[in-house]
Amino acid sequence: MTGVIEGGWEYVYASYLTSWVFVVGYAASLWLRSREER
Amino acid sequence: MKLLGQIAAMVYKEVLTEWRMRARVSGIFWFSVAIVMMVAFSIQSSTMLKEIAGGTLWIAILLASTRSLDQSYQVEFEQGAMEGLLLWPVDPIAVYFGKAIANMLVLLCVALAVLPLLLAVYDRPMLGSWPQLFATIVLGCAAIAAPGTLLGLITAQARGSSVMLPLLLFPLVVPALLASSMATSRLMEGDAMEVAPPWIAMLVLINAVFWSIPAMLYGLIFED
Amino acid sequence: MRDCEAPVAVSGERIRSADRPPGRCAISGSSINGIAALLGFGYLLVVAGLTLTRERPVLPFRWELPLGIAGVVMLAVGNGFGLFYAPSEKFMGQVGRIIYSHVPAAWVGMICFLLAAVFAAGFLFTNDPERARRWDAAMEAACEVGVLEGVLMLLTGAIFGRPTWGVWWTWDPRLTSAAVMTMSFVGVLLLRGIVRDPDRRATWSAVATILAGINVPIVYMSVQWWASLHQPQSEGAGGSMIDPSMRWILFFNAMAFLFVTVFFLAARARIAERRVEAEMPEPLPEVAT
Repeated sequence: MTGVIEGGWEYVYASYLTSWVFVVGYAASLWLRSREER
Repeated sequence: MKLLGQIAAMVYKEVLTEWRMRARVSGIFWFSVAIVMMVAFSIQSSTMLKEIAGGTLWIAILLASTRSLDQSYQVEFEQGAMEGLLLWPVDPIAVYFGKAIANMLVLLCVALAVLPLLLAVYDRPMLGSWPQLFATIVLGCAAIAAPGTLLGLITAQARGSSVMLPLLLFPLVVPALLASSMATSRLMEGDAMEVAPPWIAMLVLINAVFWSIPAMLYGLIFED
Repeated sequence: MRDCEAPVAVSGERIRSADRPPGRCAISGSSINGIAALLGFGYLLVVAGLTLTRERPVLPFRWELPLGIAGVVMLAVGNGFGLFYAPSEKFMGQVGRIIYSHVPAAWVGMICFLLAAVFAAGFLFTNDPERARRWDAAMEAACEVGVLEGVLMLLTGAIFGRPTWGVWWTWDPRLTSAAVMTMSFVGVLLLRGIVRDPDRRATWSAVATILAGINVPIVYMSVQWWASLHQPQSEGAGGSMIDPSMRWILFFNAMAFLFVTVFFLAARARIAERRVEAEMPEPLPEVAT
């Protein structure tokens, strides 16, 4: 029994993926920028 | 009190300047008229126009404020009058209040001039209390002018200011916009449920915050 | 040993015993959180202690890097918990798992915003120019990371709202003030981008940040008032009654996000400081007397 809302896994994946893209993307940009400054 | 005297002098100077540049000021009025007309042309349905009349008034005032706030500092920077103002032994708070009051008066005049046109073109009968509507308009214009005067000083000195002022000002104006347009729309519809007075009270609160904090911060910007 | 029994989730369904092998007790969620909190916050305290006990507060080393790595690892683990281990929500089904990525982003976004306002005030009230530079760099970092988290919060919130409420967006107090808050940050960052002179940039953006800061509660209040006029009852989306079996996972993810964000803030502030130093004019040559 999954509750009133059936399925919806694509939303879950979209949300987690977005979080990871932002986190990894920003970390990468920080790393690139700190290399420039040096 | 000396401060009040300074503020009064500042307001007088501002109003005099605006009066001498009334061609520019009337440009602001026609800009608001243009916005009102453009919205009317884009929204074909007359019932919908009736409903959005209140909100449209405030959009027009807000967009006009971006022009008038820019212009209020343009004079100083164009003519080199800023140095004169800085040399004047005046408290920055007086400069702030003087400019902000003057800006509010400009917006008020524009609003009161646009209002009859709006009511006519949008076929919007004004069913509610006129004094409350007037209070709403005064308080709304004040709530836009106050933070706008502070931000205007910042953006007038920065490059790309024509886009920066709206960008910085609009988030600050959201509560005032919400309260004013809600109150205006309800008043135009007759306000059977008396929702306007609480909104006007909220506008008073908003004004209290947005007149006091910028006044305290103005000195930091002004000395540059 | 009570943790070995399958919990009956108030807001979730009962975990089937097939999920957990019999005879093996899962470590309780609260002890996992406790260990992580002890390690993470303890580390921060140690670093803070090392920094502040010296006469000139100088950061010892790139302290944020281990914390960041730990945070990312925790985030992966926490997301794993959220995806596979957490019970599904009673009304929202599997979609309820989004809260483990949305709510931490929201909390952290608001923390960044608060920090930005605090740093702005710190900048405006300090007299020492070097300290002022530090505050300014910290504020810049908080603004940028805040925009990042704010946009993430809005996106994941929309992804959350679509299946649960049926709409991508709605004008309730929290969403509206979140949007206004993020927009204010964006404005401050853009202002910083166009002003060349470092002193002016710092002062003006500090003023703009403080204005934005006092604006948020006002926006929240006014939209709440408006919503109360339109809807007789306020909706409690994602209410506070989160079942314990889900709550510890939420806190775990939130801590992970917090550590990652602290890493972002520190690294970004470092970059900002270095840029400001590069912009400083050369010191005047010594005059031989």
